[in-house]
Amino acid sequence: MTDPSGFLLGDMDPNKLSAKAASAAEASDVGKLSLGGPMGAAGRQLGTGTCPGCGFAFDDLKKTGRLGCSQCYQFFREEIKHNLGGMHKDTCHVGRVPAGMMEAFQNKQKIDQLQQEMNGAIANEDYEKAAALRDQLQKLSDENAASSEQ
Amino acid sequence: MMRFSTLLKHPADWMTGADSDSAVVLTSRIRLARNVSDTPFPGWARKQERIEILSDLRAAIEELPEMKAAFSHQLSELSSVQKQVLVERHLISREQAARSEGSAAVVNRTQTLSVMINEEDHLRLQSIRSGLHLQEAYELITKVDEQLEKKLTYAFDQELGYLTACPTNVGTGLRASAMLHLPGLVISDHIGQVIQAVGKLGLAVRGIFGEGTESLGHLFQISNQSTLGESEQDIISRLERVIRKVRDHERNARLKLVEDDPQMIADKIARAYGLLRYAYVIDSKEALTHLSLVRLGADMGCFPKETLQLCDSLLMDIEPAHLQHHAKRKLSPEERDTLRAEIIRSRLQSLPTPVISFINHTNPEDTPPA
Repeated sequence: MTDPSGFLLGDMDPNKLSAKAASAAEASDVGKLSLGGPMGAAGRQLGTGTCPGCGFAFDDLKKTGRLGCSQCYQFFREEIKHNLGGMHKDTCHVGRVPAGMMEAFQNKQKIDQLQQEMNGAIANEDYEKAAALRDQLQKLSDENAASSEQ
Repeated sequence: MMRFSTLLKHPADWMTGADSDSAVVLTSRIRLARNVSDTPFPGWARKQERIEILSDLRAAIEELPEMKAAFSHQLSELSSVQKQVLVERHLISREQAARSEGSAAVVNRTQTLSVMINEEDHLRLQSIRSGLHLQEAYELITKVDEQLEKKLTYAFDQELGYLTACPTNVGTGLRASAMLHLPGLVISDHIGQVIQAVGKLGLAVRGIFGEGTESLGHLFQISNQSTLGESEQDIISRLERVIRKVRDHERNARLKLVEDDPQMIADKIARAYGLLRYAYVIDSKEALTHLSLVRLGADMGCFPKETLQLCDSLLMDIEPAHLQHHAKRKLSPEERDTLRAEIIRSRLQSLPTPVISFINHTNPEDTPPA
C-alpha cells in the first residue's frame, strides 16, 4: 500500500512564522525586539539562510515539503519546531534511540556531570578530588574518541 | 539472487490471507523511515551522490541474514510493468516506482520484509503480516533496524529523534497501518461515523482503491499520523486498540444486517456471485465491488472457507499491471476488462452456488416443504 500522504506543509511559511514569532514576542512583552524581526539562536533571521551542510534554503521546504539533509534540522531547528506541534503528539522524541547513540548520549551526560563535580571540588579547594575527577574525565573522553573512530 | 519471475510465482502468505482471522483485518504493516547522517536526502541529492549512497546501503541490506538470497534490483533494471506489479503487491511505493537510477528495492524470500533504498528517505524498511499482527511485524523490523544501526550512522537527534526528509515522519519514523475489509459498515451506512471517530483519535482512514471518499472493494487503511512525542509501543498499542474496536463494529454490523434484512444481503451476495461467474467484460470497479461481496459471503458461511483466500489472490491478480504481466504485453483498458473477466470466470469455476443458511435459520416455519 502506498504511504499515507501525510500533512499539508503549505502553512510552513517563513513569513507567517516570523509574524507568529513576533506576535508571541510582543505578547510576552519583551519590548526590546525592534529591527530585523525575530532572530534564531545563531543570530540568524528565521526563515532565511541556507543549510551549511547541503545548501538547502527554507523556501525549498515550502516548495517540496521536504528538507535537504539531516543538518537542515540543526540549522532550521526553530522554524521546524515551531510547526511540529500541530502535526505530532508532542515536540520531543520519546521513542527508540539507536544503540551507539544512546551510549554517546549517556557518555555526554556523564561527562557533564563529572565536569560539574570537578568545578565544585575546585571551588571547595578539594584538589585531590578534583584531580581524581579530571583523570576520570580524561578516560571517558579517550573512550569516546576511540569509539567514534570506529 | 531471486529473480522477478520467482518473486511473482510465489506470492507472500499475507497476500493470500494466510491468517485464520483475516476476514476483517487483512494485513498489518510497519514501516520505518531511516536516513544516514550528513548525506543529502535522496530528493535533494545529486544523481552521483545518490548512486554512491545506494551502493553503501545496498551492501548493508544484502548482508542481513534476513535478506539471504533476496530479490534485489535497482529500479532502473525493472520495466514499468514490473515496477507497477511491485506497487500492486505493496512491496514498493508509487513514489519509488517513479524512480530509476540510484534507487533500489530489496525484498526477502518470503516477502514479509522489503526495503526501499533512496525513496523519500535513504531507507524505508517495511514488514507486512497477515491478519492483525502489528507487534510481530514491529519485532521483525526492529531486529533488522538494530543490525543496521551498528553498520550505518543514522541521522538522529536527541530532541527530534530519527531525522527524516519530511518533518511529518520525524521522531520514531514509524508508520503502522492495517488494511480492513468493512462491507458491513459501508452497507449499513455507519462507515462515516467510524471514519470520523477514528480521525478524532489522530489516526487516518483511507480507501485502498478508488479516489477521494469513495472506497472500492470496501477496503480501508487505518494508520497513525503522529510520529513524534510518543513511543513506538504507544503508537502501536493505540492503533491496535482502535483497529480491534473497528473490527468489532464491523462484526456487529454484519450480524445486524443479517438480522434486519437477510433477503437484501443474500441478494447482494448471490448476484455478485452470478455476475462474476458469467461476465465477459468487467472493469476494475465492478470487479472489486462484487469480489468484496463474495468475500463477505465467504465470511458468512455462504461459500467454503477457502473462498476468502481465493478472493484475496484475485483482488491482486486483476489489477492492471498484473494483467499485463500475465498477458506478457501492454493491454488497452478494453483488453484488460476482457482478460480480467476471463481470469475471474476461470478461478470461480469450481465455486459452488451460495448457501444462504441465515434466511432459513431466521424463519424456519416460512420455508416451504421440499
